[in-house]
Amino acid sequence: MLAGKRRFVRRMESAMIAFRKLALAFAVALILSPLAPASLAAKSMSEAERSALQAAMVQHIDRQSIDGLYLHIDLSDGRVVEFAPAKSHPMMFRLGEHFVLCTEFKDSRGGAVNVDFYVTRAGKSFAVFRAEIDNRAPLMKLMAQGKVSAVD
Amino acid sequence: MPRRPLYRGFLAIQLPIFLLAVALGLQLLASWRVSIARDGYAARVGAQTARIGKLVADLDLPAEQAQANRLLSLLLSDRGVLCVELVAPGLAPAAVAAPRRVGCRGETPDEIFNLALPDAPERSLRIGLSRAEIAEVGRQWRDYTIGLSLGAALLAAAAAGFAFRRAIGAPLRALLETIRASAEGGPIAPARKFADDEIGEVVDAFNLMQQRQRQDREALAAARDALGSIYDETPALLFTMTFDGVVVGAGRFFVEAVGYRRDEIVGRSFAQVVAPSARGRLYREALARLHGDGFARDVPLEVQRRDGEIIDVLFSAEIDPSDPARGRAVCVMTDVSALRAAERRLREQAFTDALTGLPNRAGFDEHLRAGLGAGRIDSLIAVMLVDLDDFKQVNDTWGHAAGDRLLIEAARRIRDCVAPQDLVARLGGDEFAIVCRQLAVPADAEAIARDIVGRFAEGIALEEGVARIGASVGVALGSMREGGAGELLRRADQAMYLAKRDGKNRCAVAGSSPAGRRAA
Repeated sequence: MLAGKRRFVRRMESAMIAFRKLALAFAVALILSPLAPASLAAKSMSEAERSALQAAMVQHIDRQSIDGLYLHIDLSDGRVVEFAPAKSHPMMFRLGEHFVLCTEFKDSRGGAVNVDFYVTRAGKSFAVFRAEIDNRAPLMKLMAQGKVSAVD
Repeated sequence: MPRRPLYRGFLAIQLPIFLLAVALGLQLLASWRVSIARDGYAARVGAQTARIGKLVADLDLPAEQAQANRLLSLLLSDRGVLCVELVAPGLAPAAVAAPRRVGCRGETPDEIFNLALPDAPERSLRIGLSRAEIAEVGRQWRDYTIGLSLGAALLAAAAAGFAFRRAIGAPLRALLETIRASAEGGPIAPARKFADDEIGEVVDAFNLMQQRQRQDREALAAARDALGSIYDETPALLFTMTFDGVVVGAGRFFVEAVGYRRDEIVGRSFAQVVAPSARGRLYREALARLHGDGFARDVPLEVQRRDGEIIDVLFSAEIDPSDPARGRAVCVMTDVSALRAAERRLREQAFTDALTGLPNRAGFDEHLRAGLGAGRIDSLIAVMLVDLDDFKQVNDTWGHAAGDRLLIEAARRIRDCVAPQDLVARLGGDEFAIVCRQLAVPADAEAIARDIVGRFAEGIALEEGVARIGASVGVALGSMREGGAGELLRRADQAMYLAKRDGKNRCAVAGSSPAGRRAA
């Protein structure tokens, strides 16, 4: 009975030592992992592709703009609204093979309007295939469904 | 200091886990920060290149080549852009580039970003990117992660050490000190309770145990006092000693009996109070039995008091049942001095003639057995029988009292004739026996016999008048080899008979053969 208890205690001590070693090794690995950010970046989208995505969006906005204003027609009432591109949101999202980029426009009263551009690959470059102006709800819904996630 | 302090074991588990959690959190934070930096970088470089590209696309080349170069050089103001070249048909490589005329030659950009210009589809920008700022953010956050992790770990270790010391270490040390003090025979004191936690419960349990132990000790002390009182008050010679005979406890009556102080007895050998002649018996019989059988019963010993007086005791001992090592014995001595003295008196009375103080017949026989047996077997011995002549007339004439006085005087005269070591006994009535030892020659015995006869030739003055009696002495010579004292006595009796027959008031020496007999 006593010998059994001793064996159990010895096994528990060995297990604790192994656990400590494992935890230490894991901690060291985790601490050292930021030393190689390139390896992290290698798995994700490159800076060139990211820049190309952003450039595609800017080019789209510039080409669609007239005298620096982005025109939008509200088909429900036929009203055409002018927006001034203000600033791009740096964060990019992935929707399957496509991407979503967000930007902010200003209306004529200076109010901020969210504009989401849906972008896809076009050869070695990218092209905007849809713009949602002041309609973020669909994007939020897709995010909630897990279909849209941040680009690594 | 314990070999493996508890807090080390605690820190050995807590610290890696804490380090792991902190490192994981910081790693996630660093990844997020790098991600933000990358997004910002891409947004900035993408927008700038797109806008510069549009301006370049609108230029008429090569006419406006200088303007194109100026526009491209604007991109170099961004850290993320290392070099840029305009690629267009008919345009020499690096003709429109930044740095001017060099472009990306000689540079090692991290990535090349080719930007098509929608307004001039035949043209494109070739941009060399530098990820230095993103790597810098990564390094910065790696350093933050390592520094903060280690700092947090140190802080956590210090905080945990402090908390451990306060919550566990100090109460445990206090408890340990109390336990040690108690274990080393110190006073039983309650341990200090620091808090109502688990250790506090242990302290409560320990204090309860201490309280019970104190009560037990007090009860034990009381019992010991009571026992000591009994030990001292019991009118018996009680003491305890080790199996080696060292006295470890002595009752009052024992101390008084041996006449020593208690501190002169306790711790010393019991043999010191035993008479030297009895020490052999102490070791052979008492201690040997104690070792062998675990007890000794009524071993007769003589104890020598401090003042030199010898007392007779009966020694008994038994293993002390209260001694867990069973190396100690409870001993009791019974003083039998009075009994032995009475025995000696009775023995003396039984062997002594009350009138003359000489040994009687029983005493004579006893002396013969003891005395002659102690001598050499071939040494010369003379046994004489003395019978007073005409003693009956004195008795009849002057009465028994006069007869008794005469016998006393007769005994004295016979005693005067022999050496102190010789034995004189009154066998009964007017008959005396003498045993002379250490005779040089047989004639010495005859001389003594003649001297006795001569002494009785003189009258014996009594109150009633002078008694005229004589003495007939029969002498037998021999040695223990020749039949012993009984045979010599028988021959002396025959010789004395001859002396009587030959006219009394004379001596006769018995020869070894009838022919050898002669009267003097």
